[in-house]
Amino acid sequence: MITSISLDEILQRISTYPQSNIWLAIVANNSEHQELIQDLEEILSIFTGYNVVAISGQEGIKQLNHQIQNVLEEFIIIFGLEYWNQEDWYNFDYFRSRLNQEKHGGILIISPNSAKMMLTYAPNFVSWLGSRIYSFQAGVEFLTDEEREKRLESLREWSGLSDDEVIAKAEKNQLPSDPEYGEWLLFLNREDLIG
Amino acid sequence: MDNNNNWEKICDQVQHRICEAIPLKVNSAKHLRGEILKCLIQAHDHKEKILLTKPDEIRKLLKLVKSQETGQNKIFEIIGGGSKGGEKNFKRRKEIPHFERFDQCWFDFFILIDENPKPAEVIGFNFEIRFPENYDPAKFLRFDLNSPNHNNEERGMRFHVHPSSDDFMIHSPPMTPLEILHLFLYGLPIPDKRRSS
Repeated sequence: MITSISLDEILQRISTYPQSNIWLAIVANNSEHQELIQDLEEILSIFTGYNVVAISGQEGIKQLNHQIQNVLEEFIIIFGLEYWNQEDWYNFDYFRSRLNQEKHGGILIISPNSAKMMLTYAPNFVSWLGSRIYSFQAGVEFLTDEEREKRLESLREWSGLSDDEVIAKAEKNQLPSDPEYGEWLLFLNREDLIG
Repeated sequence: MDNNNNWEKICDQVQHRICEAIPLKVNSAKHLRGEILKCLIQAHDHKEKILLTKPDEIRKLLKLVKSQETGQNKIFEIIGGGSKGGEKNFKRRKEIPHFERFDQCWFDFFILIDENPKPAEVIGFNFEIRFPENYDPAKFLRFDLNSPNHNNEERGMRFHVHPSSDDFMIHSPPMTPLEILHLFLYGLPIPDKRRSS
């Protein structure tokens, strides 16, 4: 059973690790990889102070190893392992010691299929990870549709206006500039009328 | 009448100075949210337990909103507490989830960020701290940055403070959202002994 983890929890967890070579694997759907990598590249340094680099494994294990040897950053995100076959994972397992080079660790971003390959063909690396394999819970930090609607209801009650009235006033440049109205227009997907 | 015109002119001048001085540029909404999350967690982990709100609650209270329809996602909002299942806390009801300081002061906030320009820019916010019920001199303090180019800005009061009254506004010092958050966490201590009036 793999534990679920949100972006915030990943950040918080890594920030509590001691400064040593600790790696973790995040299992996420392919469609979530790009945003997750961008978010980690952008935000992780706030929590750790580390410089972060993302390296793709798409060019194969040899190229990946070469790139890892030459990084200057303290924290590495490895992604793009979806096309790796059995042999690639065996080689990765064999070369795992290359990950241990006085940096501050890293993350593997892998798909559910890649996770199966890793668990089967990289047993030593998996053993090294231990319990640090997580299933990514995407979008937890965003307000849900239900919460958005509840917040809209509060705004309507507060002002005594309807959504249509707010849009009409904004279009005539007659809407008060309290930030609550900006929030309201955003919720109505009319952020073009803010300001 | 002339005096009134003068005051409006002074407001415009003060407002202009404040807007010149306040750095509203940010990397992105997600980056700013990350900085806020770290700041709040540090306040909880502080040796003096400045913030009673626990990290898992902090994560639940700190939400991000992006526009859904256009797919451009150019305007974001960071919401920090003040809502229960989405319901907004206009009436200062303490049962609505919020961030709680060790001394019973409590606060919430929201911030609007425009990512159309590069770098992104904070275009509005609301930060309000409420003092303990038994503290009579002040009930709350609110910082509002109103949306740009509308009536209040013409009145020279785009960025203002409400000093324990929704009816009164004074110009705000040029503080960024993170600086106001630090003020709410580490400033404004409830004095053991009040100054005599």
